[in-house]
Amino acid sequence: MLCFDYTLCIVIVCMLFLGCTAGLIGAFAFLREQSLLGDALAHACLPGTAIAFILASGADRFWLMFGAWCSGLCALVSINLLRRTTVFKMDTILGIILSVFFGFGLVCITMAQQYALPQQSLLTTIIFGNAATICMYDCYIVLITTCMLALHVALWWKELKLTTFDHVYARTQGYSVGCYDAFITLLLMATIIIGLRIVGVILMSTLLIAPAAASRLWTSRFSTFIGCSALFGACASVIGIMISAAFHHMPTGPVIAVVAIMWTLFSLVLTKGNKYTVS
Amino acid sequence: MNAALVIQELTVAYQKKPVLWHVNAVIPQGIMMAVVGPNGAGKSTLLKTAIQLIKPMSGCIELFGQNHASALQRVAYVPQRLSIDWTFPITVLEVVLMGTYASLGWFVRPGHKERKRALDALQAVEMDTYADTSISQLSGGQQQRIFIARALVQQADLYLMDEPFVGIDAPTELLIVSIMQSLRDQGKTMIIVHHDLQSIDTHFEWIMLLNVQCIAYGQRDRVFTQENLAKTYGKHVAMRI
Repeated sequence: MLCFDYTLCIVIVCMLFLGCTAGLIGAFAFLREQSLLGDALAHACLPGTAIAFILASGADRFWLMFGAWCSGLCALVSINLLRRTTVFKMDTILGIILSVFFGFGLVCITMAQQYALPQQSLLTTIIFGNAATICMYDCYIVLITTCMLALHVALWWKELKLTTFDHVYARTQGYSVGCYDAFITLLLMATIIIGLRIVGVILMSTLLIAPAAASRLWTSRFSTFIGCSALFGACASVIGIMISAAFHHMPTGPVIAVVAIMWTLFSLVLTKGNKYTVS
Repeated sequence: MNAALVIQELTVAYQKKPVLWHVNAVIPQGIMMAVVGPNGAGKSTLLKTAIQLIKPMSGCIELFGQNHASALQRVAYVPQRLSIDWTFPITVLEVVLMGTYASLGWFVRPGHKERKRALDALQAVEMDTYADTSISQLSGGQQQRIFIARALVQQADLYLMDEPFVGIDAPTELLIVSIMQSLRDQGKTMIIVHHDLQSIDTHFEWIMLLNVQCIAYGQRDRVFTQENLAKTYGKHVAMRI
């Protein structure tokens, strides 16, 4: 039975905004063919989080997020380095980075568990996610991130649209395409980091990809696509949280991922998967 | 009057392999020029270097007597049609409106005036009835027309087009040529990468023959000779034309 207590309300509000943010930034990543970049970055945050957990002697939120940032940035730099200096294609590079960082992250977590540090369970939470750990502090961080993202997207709407659609033409028009690319990638990473403890490393990419994929099936208009993706992300997160809260032993991250994927599959059936006939 | 384009000792290389080698040319304003040559001759590279997408190894290109970025605002670039993701969720009007973005400031979105300009450009390419259509529903010729419309909206002085006639039907080709001729009559300059040597006579009065080096450039009657074609394509090809 679902009981709307204070904690659940905080979790729902937090997930509403997180789902909205993930759907919004995921839509841009989807159009820029960077969906798998989000997956690789999410996995790459694991070693940094585990190392920060050991160095900070426990689950200090700031240090864990800082560790995840450093780790994610290392992955990003490695991806760019491999892309420029090798003949590997992007999918190969992302596969390498994802495996290396996630493997190293698991080793770090095993090492961290050998120390008698408080809140050890938080490390496994980062892999699978747990909304029960959400507090008001998390809610503020998610809210600020969502507002910042929405504001920037609204302000640079035409620039983001142009650089996403046709970066060569954008460069001839004097736009600094690299800056907008970096902006989107950093926002993608920020969204992943704030969602890690709630949805988990493994399923964070689902929250980025599934709403955008479903949205693309319903519309061929840029603004509607971005708006629907944010809406689907928010709905999937809230519905997932409520299902997770209503039944005992229901892991939050996987339930949200299943809801998001179910909606995408449902959209595929309803629209017959024909993206070219929707206008 | 300044030349539209001055190319001085231009050398461009990809990984130390020269694609353009010591190219020199002065292209006057108000002409329609085809850049022709075999595959790998450096035709697209020449256009991309002119709009600073590629950095030359040596030499430079001046646009309207300037070699800095501000001159780029007078240039409209029409890329190859296949360089775009045509499944992108966007309408025809939205793509054409992109041609107005550079004239707007930061945080300013296109308004009624820009929409009017975009619709006029769509009318010029006979695509005004497709304004709200998704680009994924367009044929090859229609895709090329909206690229031309986007360039028209810019109201540029120099138009650089990379193979605009590839994969399009005859009516679209004739329409694009008539638009180009009309722009030339207004004093605009057109530089077009072109493959079909058979249509050179009907479409262009200026030609640049390029094969890494600039073989010849100038008015068609003077440049489009068997000797120059043999230097550009080899004797066997030149004999057939």
